[in-house]
Amino acid sequence: MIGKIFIEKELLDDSYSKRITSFFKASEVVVIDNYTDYFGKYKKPYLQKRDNLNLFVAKKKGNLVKEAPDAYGVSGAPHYYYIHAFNCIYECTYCYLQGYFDSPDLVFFVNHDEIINEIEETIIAHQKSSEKEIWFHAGEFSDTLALSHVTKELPDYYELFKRYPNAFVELRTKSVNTKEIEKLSPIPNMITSFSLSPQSRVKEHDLKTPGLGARIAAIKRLHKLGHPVGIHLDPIIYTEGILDEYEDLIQELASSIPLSQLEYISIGVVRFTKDVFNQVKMNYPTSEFFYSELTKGQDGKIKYPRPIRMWIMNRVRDLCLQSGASPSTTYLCMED
Amino acid sequence: MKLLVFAHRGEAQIFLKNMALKSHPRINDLYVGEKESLLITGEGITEAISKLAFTLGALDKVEEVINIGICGSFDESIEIGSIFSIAHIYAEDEFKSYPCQLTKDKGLDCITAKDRILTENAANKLKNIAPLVDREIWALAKVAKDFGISISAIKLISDHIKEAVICEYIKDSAEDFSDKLYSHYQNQIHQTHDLEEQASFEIFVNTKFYFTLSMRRSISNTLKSLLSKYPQMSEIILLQDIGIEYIEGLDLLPKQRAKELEEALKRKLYPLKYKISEELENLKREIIGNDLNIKFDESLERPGFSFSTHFSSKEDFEIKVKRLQKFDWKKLTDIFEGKF
Repeated sequence: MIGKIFIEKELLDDSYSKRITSFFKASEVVVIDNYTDYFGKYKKPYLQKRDNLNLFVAKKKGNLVKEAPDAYGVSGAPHYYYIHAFNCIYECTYCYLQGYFDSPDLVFFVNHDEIINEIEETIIAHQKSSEKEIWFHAGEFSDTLALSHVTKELPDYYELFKRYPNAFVELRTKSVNTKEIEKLSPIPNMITSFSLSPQSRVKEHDLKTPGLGARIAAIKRLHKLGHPVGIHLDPIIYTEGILDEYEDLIQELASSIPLSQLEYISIGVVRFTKDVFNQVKMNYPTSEFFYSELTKGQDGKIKYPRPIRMWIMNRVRDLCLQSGASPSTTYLCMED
Repeated sequence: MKLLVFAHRGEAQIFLKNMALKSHPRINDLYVGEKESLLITGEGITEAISKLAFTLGALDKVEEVINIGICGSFDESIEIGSIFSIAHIYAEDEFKSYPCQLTKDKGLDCITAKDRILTENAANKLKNIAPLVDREIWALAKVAKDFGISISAIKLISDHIKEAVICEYIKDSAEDFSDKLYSHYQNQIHQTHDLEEQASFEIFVNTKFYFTLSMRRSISNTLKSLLSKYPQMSEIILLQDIGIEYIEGLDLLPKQRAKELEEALKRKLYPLKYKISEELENLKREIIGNDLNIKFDESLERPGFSFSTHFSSKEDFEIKVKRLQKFDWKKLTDIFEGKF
């Protein structure tokens, strides 16, 4: 799976690094000074991830915690995301990562102690001025759980959030690799959120990801153990049978977990920046996106026109509510 | 015309012997033929950029650049003498990289080095980027891209970079290398190019329609999209589905029927947009007239409308304001909230 592992010299003795290199025993290890000497320095085509995927083990410098855009999560509370990895083992045809970095190679940042410190500082600063909850999201640039059994950083983040019950963390994933979460005692402020799409869409667009059934089984497993779960019905891709497909999905989900017990259901439609759309054209030239109802908006983004967006999201929201979801936690992911 | 580009005359020697080419009257090392021409650039990035740019400026019929030549390999498991297509092109200390058109095989990536790589230290820097190394291909790709011309490449592995200085060996083997490259080119690339045919649809021979060139292009594209969207449908079934028989029977001129056909196909491809557009047209109909033109936001992002008119008098102004006041704002808001 991994071609070469590039590891920064100063991290050779780091315990996270050692775990990673010992997991991928077959991969050649190359010692480098700094991951930026290679990663992003040469533009590497996205689809090389299929057969030429390298892994960088590095130290993240600069801002480790960043303020999230308004569209993130339930509104009213401040939202941040932290960065502990770049890129993903999955290959979703709509993924914005294909136009974001100039390489599909994985980067694991292993200075988790520094990231955790910065999260804690952010929580403390927030608590000085507000009694409101504060949210942190993982998985902005990677899938949080897919390789968590290799990186094994989750318990350290768990210990932090256990101490701050008013600070919430969302671990966003398409994987079913819940082993590391299952080892932890549930806390109400560590939420695993799964992105779900109808199986036909998973097959067509979420390449190399677990199927819908496996994801719902993972949701059921975590719920049974008492771990809070959130759902992202995002990105929704319009098809002629969209309502039937989402009705089936929602009913299947509702038969595994009462929707009212989900922390939230967020609903959003597929959208692209111009750069990402150009990458999609290059990588998946026969994709249905190119003969769909998507249009270039005045802001340069490629998305369904507003009436279609609203039609899709409101119908899917109605389906959720009809199956028992709570109106207050079933929200539309609006970007405008 | 294809332009075959080599760095050295030694690599090109068998091609020059076997192809019907004539020296270009003004450009040294350029040999021109009917369907293929051949250019020898000299070694290195600067030579390659300069020679190819000058040549592409002078020849106006080049459709494809094909780089042919030898390269080194950082990977000892890649056999010397083997031939590969190049998949992606990098250059030492250059961020930009270029995709390369592949032939039949999967291809390997290649990095263009600024200097000859003769030491392991120099090799170590580049081997993490690509398994193959040469001195020109990135420069050729850059120029080809600037001219909007596609590039492909076939490379023969001449040496493993760890080995000692082997320039003499490569020179001695040049004829053999050139022979292998020529055979490869003849067998694989030459035979597989230019196979793409423009899709031709049966509807275009139907005499009940008259298609202008732009309409033909538009209908052809829409049909292609529809056949991709509905892979289980054939052209005939698709046309039946959109009511071709009804359109054929319309009492219209053949060109107008073709326009109806185009609309019907687009309605099939974009059903929601058409439905919204119909709803908006209905809204307009209540107040529109030849003297009052209403336009909705084309991108369907902003509710509301703009209008243009001429007020000829106070009375005319008041009449038109009354008509505008009849506009159904609730219906418009509903449409933009997805209730249509």
